Amino acid sequence: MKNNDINKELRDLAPGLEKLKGENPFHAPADYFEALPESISHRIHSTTLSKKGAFGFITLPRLAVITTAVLLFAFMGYFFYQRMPSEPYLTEAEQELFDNHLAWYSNYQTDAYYDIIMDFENDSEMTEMVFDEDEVLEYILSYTEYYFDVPPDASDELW
Amino acid sequence: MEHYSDEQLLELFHNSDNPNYAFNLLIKKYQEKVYWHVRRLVIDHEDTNDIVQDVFVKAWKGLDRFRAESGLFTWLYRIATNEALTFLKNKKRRFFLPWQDVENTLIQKMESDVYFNGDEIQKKLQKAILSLPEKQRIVFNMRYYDELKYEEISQILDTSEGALKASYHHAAKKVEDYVKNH
Repeated sequence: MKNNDINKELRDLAPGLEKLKGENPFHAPADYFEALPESISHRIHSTTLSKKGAFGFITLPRLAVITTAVLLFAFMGYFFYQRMPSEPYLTEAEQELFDNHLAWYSNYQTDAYYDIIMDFENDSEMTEMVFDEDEVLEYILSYTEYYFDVPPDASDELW
Repeated sequence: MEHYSDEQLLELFHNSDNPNYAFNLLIKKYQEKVYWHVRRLVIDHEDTNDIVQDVFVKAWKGLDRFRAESGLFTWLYRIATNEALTFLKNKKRRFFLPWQDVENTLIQKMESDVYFNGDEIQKKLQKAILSLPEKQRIVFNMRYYDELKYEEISQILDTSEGALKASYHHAAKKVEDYVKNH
């Protein structure tokens, strides 16, 4: 009944194909189907075995790689930590030299700012003057604000 | 062997002391159908042999979870179709082949296949079938050679019967045209 329906459908649809139906131009090797169940059983057996051995062949190397990587990082971290200086970088004499140099540089910078701001022609003129520190500080601040921080206001007088 | 129904085989597999025996009976019952279904899709006997073995290995692994909602036969066909399609897809991917080239490769295989003994008209018919788009080819083979009902094909391919009918009709027309005109 099923075949009849299919054949009728084919006859209506593509009558040329109906004549060719039923022939199988392919064939399998002799005794293939007799041996196939056993081949499948072998494959099932080997697949099951390799699955059981998966821990030995797949997971174990992964575990080894991960452990090695962790140990390597641990050693690297340890040696890096060991190389970090536990004592100060500078000796006492070097520290003193550094402090002196810093003090000298600080003074030098202050003098230089006075020179720039006051525009003195010579040092003798400056030494004769007495500075009010607050006045100087206020002057410096206003100078700084004008040029660096505060946007110029149109209403401000330039100088 | 053939006299065991699917239900009896499943019963034997699940409840007997020797599931291997039940599975062996299942293989014997369906091996030829699965083989020819796969063979028509991948053409080469050695490839087919590999795929068929994989199909039954998967069936063995999945039979515990198999719920007889769909028939055993439908389930096996579905596994076989998926395996064959995966094989062809991998072939395309591995060799960066467009479908046209896979088709040519299959035709070449068929022509040099020692297990092919069709005459010229059969060769032409096979070439025509190989020139079909993948899905149409599967539907055509299932209907033309395996003589499956649309309902069964629908369960295997998870496609509506209407779509399958349309596919088969297109395919049959194309194959007939090819055989007439080449």
